[in-house]
Formats: sequence, structure tokens, C-alpha cells
Amino acid sequence: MSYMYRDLKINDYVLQQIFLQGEKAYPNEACGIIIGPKGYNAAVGVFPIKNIQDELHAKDPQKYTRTATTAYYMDPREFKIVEKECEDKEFEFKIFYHSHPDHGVYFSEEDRLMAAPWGEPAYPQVGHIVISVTKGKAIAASEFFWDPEAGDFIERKLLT
Amino acid sequence: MSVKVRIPTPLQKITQNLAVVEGQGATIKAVLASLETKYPGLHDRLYDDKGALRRFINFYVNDEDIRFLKGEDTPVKAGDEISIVPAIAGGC
Repeated sequence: MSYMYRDLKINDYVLQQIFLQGEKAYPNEACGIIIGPKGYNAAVGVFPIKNIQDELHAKDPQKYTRTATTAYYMDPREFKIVEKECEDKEFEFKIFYHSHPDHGVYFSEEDRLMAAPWGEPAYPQVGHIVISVTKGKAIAASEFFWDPEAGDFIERKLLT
Repeated sequence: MSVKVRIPTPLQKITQNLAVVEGQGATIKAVLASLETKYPGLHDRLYDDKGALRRFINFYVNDEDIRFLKGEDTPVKAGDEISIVPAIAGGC
């Protein structure tokens, strides 16, 4: 596996916000976007996004087999709003995050499939933070970012 | 009727590196079908083996997600813009 230096700074306040959101959403998965100023290696703002997995599952259980306890799907309408906000204010996406209720920190097969649906990521510069929320308490987090040389997502531990 | 379609970066190798292409048709389904003749291979990236739009892609007409409109049968008119945007989703 090749090594790639990742120097995106994620401050404690940002991590605390997503931990609180993960705990509040438990036993469902929480998700959202962390943004930062364009061209700077800093992730400074948190936008929680509604997880519509249950809505999709209710509408089409054959296609969306999972519920929000084991899956997340960011609300496309809220996603668009944050995207527009970013463009208007010279910010950009730095991180997509989600929680794993009662599961550990790892980038699952489902996470990989969704992040790189055609074999390569749709947002190669954007990392993915996964937090573990066990028995309602956020206990661990890692970032998974795309390494083009390895052709895979590499883990950077944030809290263990 | 001509409609603009925004193509996500990973699929631009199929559309000759174009981020925006022109499709023809009065519904999403028709527009996507018209693109397949110009850009073979696009259809398989957008549809699953059961012939349904893949679950990890969001399709918008202007800023509206077609999942909350009429899906593939959502009507489009000249000047509309369709966006194909990979969903941000996953699971443990």
C-alpha cells in the first residue's frame, strides 16, 4: 500500500459537533458535510444533512433494502443547498461524514461502492470521516481518503 | 427538443471529456436514451441490470430531484438542465 501524506486540519470543535450529532441520531446513522476555505487545508464548518434512508426504504424497499440503522443517504435537496452556499462563499467540501451505530470505524463495502460508484471517486479530494457510536456514545473516528496510486481509500485515525 | 445534461467527472471519459452535453427528448428517460446513441456505454453506468436507474445516482431537473417528481417520466422542456450527481451515501 502506498503512503500519502494527508494534512487536512480538523479542529476539535468540528469533531465534537459530529460526535454530538451521531449520538443524537443513534440508533440511526447520522451524516453531513464539513467545509473549509478553498485552497486551505482546514476543515472548519459543519453542515448536518438529513439522512433520508428510511424515506427511500419506505418508498422502494426492493431498491433501498436497508433502513437508517445500517445506512445513510444524504438528502439531495439539502446537499444542493450546501453546495450552493459553498460556491457563493469561496468554500469547498473537505469531508463527508457519517456514523456507524453499534459498529466499529471502517470503510465498508457499501461505503466504497457509494463513494466510488464507477471505480473511482466522484469527489476525489473529499475525505470521508466515519465515527463509531456504540451504545449511544461516540467512541472512535477515522478519516478515509482516496489515494490515486493505491486506487483505494486510506485510513487516517482521528480518535481511537 | 434540446436539453442540457451535466455529466459527473468520472463519466466524462465516455462523453469525450465534456462536462455538459445536449440530449433530446420530452422526458428524462427519452433524454438519457438519446445520449446513449451519442455516447455508447453511458446507459450501463446509469441503469442497473434490472433496467432501473441506479440507486447511488441523483438526477435533478434544474434543482429538483426527480425521485420526488415523476422519476424517469419527469417531463423536461427546452432550456431545462438535467444534472447527474452521484449520491453521498453508504452504510455499515
